[in-house]
Amino acid sequence: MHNRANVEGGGQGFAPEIASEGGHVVYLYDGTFDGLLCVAGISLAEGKAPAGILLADEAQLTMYETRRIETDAGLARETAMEIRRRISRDALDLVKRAFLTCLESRELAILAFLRRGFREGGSLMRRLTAPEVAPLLRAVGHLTNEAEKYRGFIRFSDLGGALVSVISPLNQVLPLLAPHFCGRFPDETLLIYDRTHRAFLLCDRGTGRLGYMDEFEPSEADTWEKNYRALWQSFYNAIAVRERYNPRCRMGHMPKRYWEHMTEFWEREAFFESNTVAKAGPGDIRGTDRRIGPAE
Amino acid sequence: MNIERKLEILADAAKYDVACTSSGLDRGGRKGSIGSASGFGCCHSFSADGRCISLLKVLMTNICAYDCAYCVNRRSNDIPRAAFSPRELAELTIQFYRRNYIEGLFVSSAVIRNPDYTTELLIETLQILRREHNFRGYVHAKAIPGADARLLERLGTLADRLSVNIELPSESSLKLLAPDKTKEAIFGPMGRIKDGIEESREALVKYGDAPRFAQAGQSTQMIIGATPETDYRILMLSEGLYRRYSLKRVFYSAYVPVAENKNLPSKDTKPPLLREHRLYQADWLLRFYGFKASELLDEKRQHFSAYIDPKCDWALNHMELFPLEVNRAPYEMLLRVPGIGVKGAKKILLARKEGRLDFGDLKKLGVTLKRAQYFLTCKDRTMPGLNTRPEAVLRGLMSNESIKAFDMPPAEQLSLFDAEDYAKCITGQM
Repeated sequence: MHNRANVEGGGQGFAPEIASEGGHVVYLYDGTFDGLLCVAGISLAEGKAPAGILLADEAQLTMYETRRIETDAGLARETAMEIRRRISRDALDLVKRAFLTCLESRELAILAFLRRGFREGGSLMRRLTAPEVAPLLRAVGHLTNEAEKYRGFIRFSDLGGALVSVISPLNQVLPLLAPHFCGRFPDETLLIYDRTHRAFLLCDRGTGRLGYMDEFEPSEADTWEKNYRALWQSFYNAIAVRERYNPRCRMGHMPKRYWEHMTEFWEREAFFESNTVAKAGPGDIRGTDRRIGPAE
Repeated sequence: MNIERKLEILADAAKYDVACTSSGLDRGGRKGSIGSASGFGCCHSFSADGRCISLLKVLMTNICAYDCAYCVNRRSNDIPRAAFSPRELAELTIQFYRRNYIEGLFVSSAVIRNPDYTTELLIETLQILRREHNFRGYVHAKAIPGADARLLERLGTLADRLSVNIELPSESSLKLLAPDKTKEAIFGPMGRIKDGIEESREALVKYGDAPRFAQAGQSTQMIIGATPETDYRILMLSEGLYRRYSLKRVFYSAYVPVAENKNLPSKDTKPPLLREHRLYQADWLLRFYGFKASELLDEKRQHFSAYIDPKCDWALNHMELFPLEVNRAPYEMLLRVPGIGVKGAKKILLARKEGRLDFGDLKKLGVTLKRAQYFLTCKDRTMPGLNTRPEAVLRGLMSNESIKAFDMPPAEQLSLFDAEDYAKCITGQM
């Protein structure tokens, strides 16, 4: 997958401890996972550790010799097979996920893991505290955790029948979210836009597609949609027990950085009496079922 | 009354219900339907009180025929009343679900007219959801005590989880405060739900296909602090419920005063949140850590410490079993070390195959050394610079919240605890 945005420390910069012991070459690649597999394949075959792995289209001044690695699907596939054969299938999965994280210099960290893994084989995956393993596990834990949070915290707006959401994650969570949302809403069209990485996930009647898009701004909501937002805000406010007010606990579970995109924290707009939720379905949601009796 | 006002009233009336979880069931999506469920559940938000919001938690109606003293919806209470129509509630659920506000519906109800009529309304709502919308998301329904067994059965084939509220932790408290509900009316349906779940599982094995009954199991909840039962009694009750009725969860709800009544704590009483917290911690130890209720408390000591959690408490009282050598201790014992959780214990087992672990490694494996350091050795050595002065140990074992409370004790909550006793117990045993 292509990584165009600069996430917090992602994709660039040097890991000093690796750079100092490593060689004097900086590899340049195209920012895709296949591209990184090619870098790994070449570097591991030559047995030399690079000083850095950087994105080719972010020309940087460096005092090291640079070497551009062209992405080659065949080499990428071979390297992936090698990882599975010499370390394990789980190791390939770990590396794929680590690539989606915001770990600083994640390319070098991945390469260091592979280098030791090629030497030691599958047992490396059990060395949870090794310096080549622990940082990847921690970063992937962070990614998994963030994706888990977004599974719940994503808010869709119904804009002309399509469900639309914008998020700002630290890690690239969309590939992890795709199976969940496409599976859950097999008859809907939905779009999640990741503003941090300028990436999107489009699920169209159960089929998912990941891609990149420089900008995206959702259109204005109609009153029907605004009514549902107001209903959710009312519910959110009513469900808290005042005597148990505990803002720190809430923040611990749901840090403030998520709030921006969550309906319950948006400014409240009026509930439009005349344009109630009736549009929603065959049933008349406004009508009171007579059998229930004198509720009002 | 408009739908927004109804929602406000009926969410407000449901807010003291605690079981807002959506766990215990894996069910994928399917073409032509909407929704799915995943075993661990999912929190969609957290309310201002820090509690997880997973389901649309509302009452069908708060119009009630009963007059239970502890309940905000009691007949004699002068509050605004409202009722959803089944269609309204189903529509609201679907529209909230599409927007990813919720994982499903948690519907309970006051007793309108009688238990059967109330249950019929719940059934109709769930039928619209399941049959018209092909909703595959999570549904938790409250069984209404006293309803006909056949209605309960129908409710159970539509809902994923059923619960019957045990309400109060003893029969005498129930008689005193909820004269319209009897012990039989609560345990009767609980037993029937258990049987229903088992029968549907057996039928599924036998015939390969059978209507699923409450496939995410059943749970219950009780109110803590409205009546005089001790922590020990409550935990013994929970243990019995887990065993006898195969409950998935028992929930505890700190009593928030909603009425002035000679049989209840006065209206300015604070909800006993710390007590509720300790009971949840202990409940966790019963379900995942292999503890028995009688190991944690007994006739002589019927309440948990306000300062340290039940696991630390237990460990301090069993110092003869510690310290454990991390590189040799069996899994069951690692689980009993304060600061080591289920995940941590499993990681230790895996990692120590590849080499002997030291304290630095433990930290990387996610062990909380602040607490664990007093109970472990690595390579037969204690943690370098370990301070075993009683005050230091006590501080190490207390959570940050407790430490704050220790410096400025709010009189009520800490009255059960005598700090000196703890200091003594530690000095004697370390």
